[in-house]
Amino acid sequence: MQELGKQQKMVIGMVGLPARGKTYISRKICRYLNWMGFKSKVFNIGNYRRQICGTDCNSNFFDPSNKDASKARDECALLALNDMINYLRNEGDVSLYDGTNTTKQRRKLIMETLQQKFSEVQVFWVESVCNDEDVILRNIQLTKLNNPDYVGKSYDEATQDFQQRIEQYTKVYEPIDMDENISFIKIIDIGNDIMIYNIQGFLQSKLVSYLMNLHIYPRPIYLSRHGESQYNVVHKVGGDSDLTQTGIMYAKQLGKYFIQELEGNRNIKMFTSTMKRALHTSNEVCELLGVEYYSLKALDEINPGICDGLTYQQIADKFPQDYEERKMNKLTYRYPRGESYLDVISRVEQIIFEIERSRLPVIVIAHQAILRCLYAYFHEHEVPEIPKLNIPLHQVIKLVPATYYCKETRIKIDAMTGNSEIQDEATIKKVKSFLDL
Amino acid sequence: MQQCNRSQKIAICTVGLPARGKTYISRKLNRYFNWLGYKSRVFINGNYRREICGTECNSQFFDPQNEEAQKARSDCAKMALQDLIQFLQNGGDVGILDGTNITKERRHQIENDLKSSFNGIQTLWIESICNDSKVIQNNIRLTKINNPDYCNVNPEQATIDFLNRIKMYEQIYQTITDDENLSYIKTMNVGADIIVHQVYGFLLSKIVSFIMNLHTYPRPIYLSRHGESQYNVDDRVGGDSDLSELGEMYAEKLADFFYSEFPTKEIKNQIIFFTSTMRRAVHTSDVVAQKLEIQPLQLKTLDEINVGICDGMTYTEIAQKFPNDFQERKINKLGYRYPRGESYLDLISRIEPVIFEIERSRQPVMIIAHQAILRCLYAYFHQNEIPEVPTLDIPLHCVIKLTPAAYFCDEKRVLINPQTGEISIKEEYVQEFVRSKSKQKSFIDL
Repeated sequence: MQELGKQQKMVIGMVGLPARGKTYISRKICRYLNWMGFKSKVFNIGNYRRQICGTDCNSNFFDPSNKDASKARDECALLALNDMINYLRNEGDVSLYDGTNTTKQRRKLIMETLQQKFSEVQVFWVESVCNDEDVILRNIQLTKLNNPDYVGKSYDEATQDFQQRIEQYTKVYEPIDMDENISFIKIIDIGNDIMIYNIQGFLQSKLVSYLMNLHIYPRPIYLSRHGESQYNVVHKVGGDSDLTQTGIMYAKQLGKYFIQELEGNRNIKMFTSTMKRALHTSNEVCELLGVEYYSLKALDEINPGICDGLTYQQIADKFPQDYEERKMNKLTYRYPRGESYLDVISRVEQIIFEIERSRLPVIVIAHQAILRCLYAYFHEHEVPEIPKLNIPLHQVIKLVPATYYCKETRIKIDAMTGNSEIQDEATIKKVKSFLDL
Repeated sequence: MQQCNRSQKIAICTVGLPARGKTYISRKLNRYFNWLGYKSRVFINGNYRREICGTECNSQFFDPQNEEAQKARSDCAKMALQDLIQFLQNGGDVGILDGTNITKERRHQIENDLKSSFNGIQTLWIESICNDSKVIQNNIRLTKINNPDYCNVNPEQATIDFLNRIKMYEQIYQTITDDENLSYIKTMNVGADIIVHQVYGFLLSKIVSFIMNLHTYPRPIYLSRHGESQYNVDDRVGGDSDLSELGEMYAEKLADFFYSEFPTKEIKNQIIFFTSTMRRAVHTSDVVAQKLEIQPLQLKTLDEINVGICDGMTYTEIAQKFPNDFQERKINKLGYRYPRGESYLDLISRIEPVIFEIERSRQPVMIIAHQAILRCLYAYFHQNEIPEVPTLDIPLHCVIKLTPAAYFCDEKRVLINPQTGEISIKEEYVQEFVRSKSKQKSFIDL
């Protein structure tokens, strides 16, 4: 449905004291929007400040009565704002303005500047409020202390300074008020309370639905294809073939893997498709585990239309033009009477919400194209990469998404012996350096 | 996603002064849940009161000082709650209690009764707040004056009495506060502002999204099938055939019809125009689009039901080649899934995002699609029961104009002769509460 929102450009402004998850939320939103086909980018004001004022800023820099520093910080905010507007003018659809924006005056300045320079833009504010000291401390430990501002400082020094910084901001903090006449969503204590005000339009409404499903519980997501199917063996696409003997063995080994992995925990969510090979695999797993699964048509493999039941060679022979077209643009190419990867991405959206929402471990047993989409979403791959991602048979991909990175582990399971080989254990940081945040 | 989370029982209770749209929200939610496959029902306090205490209650009956009346009303409320609990105990999934419930004491009592009736029941309170006197007056005019409480009273008197009734309630109104320890949603100004407190879980967050998008603007929804296609002529199912000559003529006449429906450029630019990605629909839509100078959105979600291995066959051929499937489909047209294809239930699930979009829109909506798809869309807005969906009558060369409102759905069928352009109109003003003998007989059964 993304075409619906394409008419207007949008700026999403974050609001909140430091260590309230603003950057986490902006990155999640950015991920979701890019996923849905809206070109989005996060502009982190802190990065501008670090580049211009240097990283040797202790909490006094943030003292509101420090006139020089305040002026410098305002300039940084406006620089970020300008870059943001340029992005929207050129290629972007949505810009995220990731900063504290904690005073009415600052928010007013932003609204007025946008009105002046780029009046056709919609503005939407997201405020994160948190009063839980434990959560705040954990945030500081996880994210701030690795930040360039504190290179060379001891753990205690850094924590203390950061807490003082928070106090400086708290002195002047004015939570969003309804009389500011802006559209906003206020998230309090990680979704315990949510206030929504003056939401306008398709995209804002979708964002609110998305935000309501977010949480910070680091739960694992297991992705696996069905076991080897008969069509896999003869290299045919489509079809609704059943598992081969090898495929059945994999299914059983998969069940055993989960028994070990879950360590007695059966409080999980399992999803599969409605196709024989996936159902058969899931049945084997569930028999061993003793859990139930949800069989969803939305997880069915990409529909190859008229190419159903052909091998790639046969497709190249019978439909040479389509074969070439698909090679050139695998993402958007739609099989005649079938689907494209973009169609699958659209289809799979509801599953993504389900997985985001879940605080329990999630297992998805599905198909190559489907898993490429799911994997790309959680692993933050660019959408054009999706059709080429490597999702082989007889392998479990375990993802543990967390604030700034997604931990990935690939477990190759030998169908015959049941030996598992941990192929890839990488904490893949989405960002190469903090500055690219 | 209806298969998810059916294990938990859910009770939803409304809160708010009269004429704040509580019944509207309850009915909309009820429709949505039933549509998603949950067994859902609304229990209206007001109806219990009318049955037991009669309908000749003027505003004095609602005076909080009137002890006798208070006791009677309290008893009625208890009965409604008991019926709700029983409904959940006998296989219901979602029970909606539609009442004012404006005091902390009343809410506390209900919450306790609900929590003690079921292990793990989820409760949700929805408070509708409105301070816009225009909206309230409009509500009163549209819905209250026709209500059995005022059948012997002229509209002016009825309005005055009803406003007095509201004043009685206002005396003791206590808005929900956090210390009551309830999961709640407060909606203000017809959904523009919402406060959500401690609402978790799949269904619950779906409810918030749904309520966010509700409104009471009576905008029209136009549904039409593509013009007659080659496969229609051959009586074949599936395929991606193009329009027949007759179909092309219909497309022209359809364009003319819409051209006259939307006279100004302003209106035209605001129309939300959807079609599928299949040739016959795209072709029809293009003709309309050209005439109106607007662009349709092609959604794969609106593609016709996928008939899998039966694609391209006539019903006779299907009966011969796959006699078992043919029988099965006859018996259970709703749940039967064509091998390698879809079922009506799959369709219903598939089109949910489109339904959401239509609910949300305050502008006229135009959809040019296919028979099975339109059966689903029509059924949702027209409030048909799901088992009826596969047999609804959605003929070719006919525009169905639906105007859903709070208590009813206006329907107008415009049959267009593709050759002559002649139009014949069938109007049906379907009162929600007067449907058929087997269902709701009167307002009381609402």
